[in-house]
This record gives sequence, structure tokens and C-alpha cells, in this order.
Amino acid sequence: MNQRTVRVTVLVWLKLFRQAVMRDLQFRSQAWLHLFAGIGELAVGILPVLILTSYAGSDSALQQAAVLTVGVFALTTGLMDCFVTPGLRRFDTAVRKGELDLALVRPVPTFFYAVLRWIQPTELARCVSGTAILIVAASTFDLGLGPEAVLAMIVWAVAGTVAYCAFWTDLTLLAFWVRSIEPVNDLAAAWRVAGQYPRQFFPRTVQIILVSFAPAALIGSFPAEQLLDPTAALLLAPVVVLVSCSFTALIWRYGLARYNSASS
Amino acid sequence: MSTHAARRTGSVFCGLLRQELQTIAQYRWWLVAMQASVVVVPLISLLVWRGAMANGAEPPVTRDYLTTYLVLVSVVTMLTSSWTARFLAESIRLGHLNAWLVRPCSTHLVAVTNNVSEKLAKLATLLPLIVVLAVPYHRDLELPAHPGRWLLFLWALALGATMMFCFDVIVGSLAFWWDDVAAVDRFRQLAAAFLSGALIPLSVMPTAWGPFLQVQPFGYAVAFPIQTLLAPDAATLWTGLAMQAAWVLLALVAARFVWVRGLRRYSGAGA
Repeated sequence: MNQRTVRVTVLVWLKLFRQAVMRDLQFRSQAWLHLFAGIGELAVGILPVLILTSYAGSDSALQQAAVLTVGVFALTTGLMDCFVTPGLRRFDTAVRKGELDLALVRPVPTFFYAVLRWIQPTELARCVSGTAILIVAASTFDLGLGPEAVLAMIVWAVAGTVAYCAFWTDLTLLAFWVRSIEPVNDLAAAWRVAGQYPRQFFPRTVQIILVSFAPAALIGSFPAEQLLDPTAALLLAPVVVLVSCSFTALIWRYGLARYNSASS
Repeated sequence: MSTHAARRTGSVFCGLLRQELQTIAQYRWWLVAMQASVVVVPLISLLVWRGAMANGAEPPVTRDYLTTYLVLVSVVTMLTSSWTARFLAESIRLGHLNAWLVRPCSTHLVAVTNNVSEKLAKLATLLPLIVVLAVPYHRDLELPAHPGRWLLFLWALALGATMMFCFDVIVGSLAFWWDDVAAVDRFRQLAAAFLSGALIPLSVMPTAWGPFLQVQPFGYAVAFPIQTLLAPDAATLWTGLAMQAAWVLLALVAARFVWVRGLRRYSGAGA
């Protein structure tokens, strides 16, 4: 990708973001309701975790891990649902109805235009709630977080978000091969729920799946663990991003070669 | 309804059912992916609750109860769910309702048929997944052998499905007044997911919530039908059955009231 394409892509993305904000401002009542629904979804997600940990005895480390996990999970899923998942949820229709043609003829990377052009700014409210949960938890539990712990959490949260988005995209790209595969989005959304529970509750095999093949733990429990015990090598985070994105790029390339829309 | 009208409605229903099943058969992967997503959340709950109990957690129910509940919950949630609101709102907004208003049968017949046919197809896909899920935990499953309990379960399922369908019609009918009901529907689904017991059993929720959980309607769609199988004594279920019947009646009356009031306001293109 040359410098000009990068500049055009950034400009287009900024315009798309502005357009999304304007849309939400135009349909204000709906935007408010979606904002509250987003926070409600967060609450509904938190409650089962809190109820579960309330029965887990007086293990304060477990309770700290659970609350921090919920905070990180809200932050990462808020980002995903704002910038990535709206496009992924439309991707199956775009392939099935030949709408991907519109992305192919634009002077920006096709993947960017096909997937990342749909933005839902109201979902960012969940990021604010997640940050608030983390701040309140850090102060309530008197964690005394050092800068290296916060840095490790941020790095792994970003890497985890990218890795999980790549995993979700891999599933969505099955649309190139299988007709009407739209519910894989629900499958990916359902699986990521595993990320909001502390990892130690899962059997060992599932724990391995949660940090590798289907990395739901990387968007919640794993970055939260870094806040309490920043031991994981930060150098591994770019490797995770690189491997997951390369695999997605490979699937994208093969899938696009099969694409045969109504008008092409 | 006269015998002739009933026969005509039955005939239309069968025709629509056949049509819907043929359409669904074209989207087999859609069905498989959808049911896999339905099983995943209870599976995660099952893993974490059993994991927590293995680590010393002490919820107010036994491990066998939790396992049986979480294995059954995806089937019950699917069988009592409804997804009509979005489509009903769209047909009101775009004027597509006209086509059904002039036909000699109920305007909701197509939604009922869609609901029944998808559930039949989903059940065929979901049951093998549930069996796969149940096999590793078969020693902890506690299902009653008495046929009366299963009949009670089917009755509670039918009432739960009717109630959820009525709620869906109420939310969809709001499109007679509002342009977009997506956010209201999202709220309803959110409330239903949590309060029905689809995510975690209502019996493990804090005891202080007990009185509220017993009177709210969503619990009678998922948690109560499962309770008809898991309750140690059938005699304890009569209050629940009465409450469920009352909620269904109320939902039917409310849905009819909102629908009739809304139709008076309706002015779709061509209406």
C-alpha cells in the first residue's frame, strides 16, 4: 500500500466516522436508547459473573480478577462493536447480494471499505463504563497499579481485540464459500462471552482454546490478569497480532478469488 | 370462528408451513450456525459453574440441578423464543401489511407459521448438538421418568411460547406509532435474556430478588418450564402454573388491544 492510498484511506475513515456521528445526532432518541441498551447489555453481562463469584467464597484475588475482567471486557467489546462488528454483520449480505462490488471499485483497500465502514459511535459508551469499572475496582481493592501493569494490560487488550476481530472475520469470510452464513456472527458474539469470566474457572483444554484458536480470553481475562501480575512477555503481543491478521489475510485472498457477484 | 373459517385457516397454515420449510431447507448452514450459537452461551455457563464448584463455590443448588438445567436451557429458550417484532414493524412501516389485511385469515398467521416452521427445523438441528453436549455430563443429568411431568413440561412450553409471541406482537405493533422500534426490541430481548433464566438459573440469583423474580413474566418462558421437570414435587408447581396462565392471558389481551388500536392509525401505502 503506497503513501497516497494510506492518506486516502484515513481521510475516508474520518469521513465515515463523522457521517456515523451525524446519523446518531439526527436520530437522537434511537441513539440514546441504543446507548442505554449497550450499557444494559454490559450490566446483563456483568451480573452472571458477579453472582458466580459471590458463591466462590472469600477468595479476594478471584473477586478482583472477576471485576477487572468485566471492566476490560467492556472496554474491548465496546471498541469492537463500535468499529468492526457492524461491518462484519453486514458482510454475508454484501457477498450474497453482490454489494461487495461497490467496495471493489473504490480507491481504498477493499477489506477496509467492506468491513470497517460501518460505525456505531453509541457503543463507545461501553468503553467509558469499562474504564470506570477499572478505575473504581483499582481504587476499591487498593491495587496500587504500576505503569508496567497498565501498559501490559493495554498492550494485551489491543492485541486481544485485534486477534478476536480476526477470528470473527475468519468465520464471517466463510460467506465466500457457504450460502447465508450470517448466524456465525451470533456464534462469534456468543463465544466471546467466555472472555468475561476468570480463566481459572474453565477446564485446562478450554483455557488453551481461549488463548489460541478462539481467543476470547484475550479480550477479557488475560489482559485483566496482566493488571494483577504483569508477567506475560509483551513481545508476544505483536506476534499474536501478526499471526492472526496473516491468517485472516490469507482467507480473504482466497475468498475474494472465489467471489463472483451478480454484476462481475 | 365458523368451521369453514377454521378449515380455511388450517389449510392456509399448512400451505405456508410447507413453503417456510422449503425455504429453510435452502439455508442449511444458516440453521447449523444459528443453533451452534444458541448452544454456546449455556455451554460456557455450564463450564464456568462446574469449574467454580470444583474450586469450592457453593451455590444454593446442586451440581446435578445446574448441569441438567444448563443442558436443557438452550432447547427451552429456542422453543419459547419469538422473533416477529422486527418483521412486523417493518411490514407496518413499509406498508406490506396491506397484503395480509385483505386476506380472509389472521394477519398474524404468517408470523405464527414462520415461528412454528423455524422451530421445527431448529429442533432437528439443535437436538443432536444437545446430545453431544449432554454425553460428557450424562451421570449428572437428573430427568424425571414420569410421563405426567413431561406433559406438564410441554404444556408450560406451549404457554411460554404463546406469551413470548404476544410480547413480540406488542413490541412490533409499536411501529404504528414510532418509526423505529429496534431499540425497544433490543431492551425487551435484554430483559428476556436475563430475567427468563436463559443465561443462569433464576434459583442461583440473590435471594433478595426472589419476590420480584417470582412475579415477573419472563421467568415463565424459560425457567419455569425447566422447573416442571426439575422440581422435586409436582404439587409445588401449581402456583407457578397459575401465574404462567395469568401472564399468558394478560399478554394475549394486551397484544390484541395494542394491535386493534394500532390498526386504527395505520395508513400504509395503498391502505
